[in-house]
Amino acid sequence: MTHPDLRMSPPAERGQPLTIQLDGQPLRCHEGESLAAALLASGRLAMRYTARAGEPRGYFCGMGVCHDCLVTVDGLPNVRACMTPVREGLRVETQRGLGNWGGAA
Amino acid sequence: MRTRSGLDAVVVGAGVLGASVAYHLARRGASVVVLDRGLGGFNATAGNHGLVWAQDKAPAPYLGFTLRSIALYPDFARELRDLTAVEIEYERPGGLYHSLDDGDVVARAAFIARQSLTPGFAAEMLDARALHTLEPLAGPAVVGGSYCALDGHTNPLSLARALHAGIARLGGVVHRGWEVSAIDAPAGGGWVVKGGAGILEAPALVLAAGVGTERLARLVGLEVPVRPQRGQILVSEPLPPLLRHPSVPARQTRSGTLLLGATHEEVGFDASSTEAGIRQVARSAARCFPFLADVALVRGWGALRPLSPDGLPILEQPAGWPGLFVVTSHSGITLCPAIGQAMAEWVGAGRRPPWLPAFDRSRFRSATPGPMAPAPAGLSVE
Repeated sequence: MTHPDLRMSPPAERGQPLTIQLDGQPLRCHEGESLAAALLASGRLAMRYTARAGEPRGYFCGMGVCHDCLVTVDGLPNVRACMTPVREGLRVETQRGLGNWGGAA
Repeated sequence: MRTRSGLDAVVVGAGVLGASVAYHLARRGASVVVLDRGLGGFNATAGNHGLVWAQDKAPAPYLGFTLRSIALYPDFARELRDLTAVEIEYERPGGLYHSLDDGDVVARAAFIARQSLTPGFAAEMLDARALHTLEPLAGPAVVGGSYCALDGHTNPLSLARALHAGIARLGGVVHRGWEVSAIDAPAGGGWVVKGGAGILEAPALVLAAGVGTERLARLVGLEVPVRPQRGQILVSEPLPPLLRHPSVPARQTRSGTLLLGATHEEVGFDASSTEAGIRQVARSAARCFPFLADVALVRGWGALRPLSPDGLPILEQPAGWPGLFVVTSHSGITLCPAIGQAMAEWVGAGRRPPWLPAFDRSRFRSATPGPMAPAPAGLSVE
């Protein structure tokens, strides 16, 4: 599956290209970007679905306060996408509800 | 001078104990007013993590009274829900005590054996395997513990809200932001309470202001030895159902958050939250539940709980102060229905109900420890 790239065109300077895994699919992004920025740039608005109503939530405050852009990163639920820098090989999953904590047991 | 007449009782303190006394009085048809200098229940009521708990209580008569309160809880919760539509989230899944070393297991077994002499109390000691079967997320540091099927938990803030709504539904009034400045005993009997929002008069006056009770009692020349003890607790982000049984280090609320408790600090009237306190609470909870290392904490706060010299309640109608009642206790969540019912009966009938053990201040005059010895240090919880 290919993603749109909503980044500004050059001359904006970007870090080294790298690849993360988003719901099992590779996603190209750049060093220095937050996970939220990388997801937004790929056209992805919903980062999780709420526990009760199953409603989509995404990037809202963008500065770590609102806890709306929660994703599961490398198996750990409730990670704020806006506060997490991308790095090569990061596994990101769209979080449904309160996340799967089964691995904690 | 504004005087509200026709009142049967004025209750000072709208935390869960004052509110419960007022609620039970109103149920008996009494006309009551509750005063609170704050919003009602922002000391011990808000500063505890909501355990309704038997297994750490000092033996009879205190434990017996505790068991009576626990027995009242299901109907109490249902009645408040029916009357006010507020759900206090009372559940009784059985509570756990986690031991972190073998010496503690031995001490715990001796304590539980002593508890078991009280009729109606039952708890069992668990080895590591049995405990991990009951609570699979307990970590390897937990080497055993005890389980009491009578133990449960509730939402203390909802409990306070339900009581306030219940008092209003039954025709009573809760005044917030009403600080008592003076209390007079007129020659004709009864009590006159003066404060920020006017003057109230009633034949009965109940002082149930938690850590503020000592100051209030001094206004009428009465000494009530209650000191503040600070407890800091923490709340986590909401999680899917992970913990099956409440315990002192952690309980999971119905909304999914974990409440972690609690420090026991002697710091006077300072209710602030401290980094050291937060670390201590988080660390001891994570020793029992290692998965907490990955869980985000949302908030921490401190609150003052009232403690008498032996940690037990003071429930008294002091001789020489007719119509005056003193109601203060640690473990106010657990004891909320029983203290409310007992004191309402006492105020209404003018006599201590026979089922209420004596919890008056005369016990502090004797230097030798009596049968009401306190629970082992650090074990007494709400």
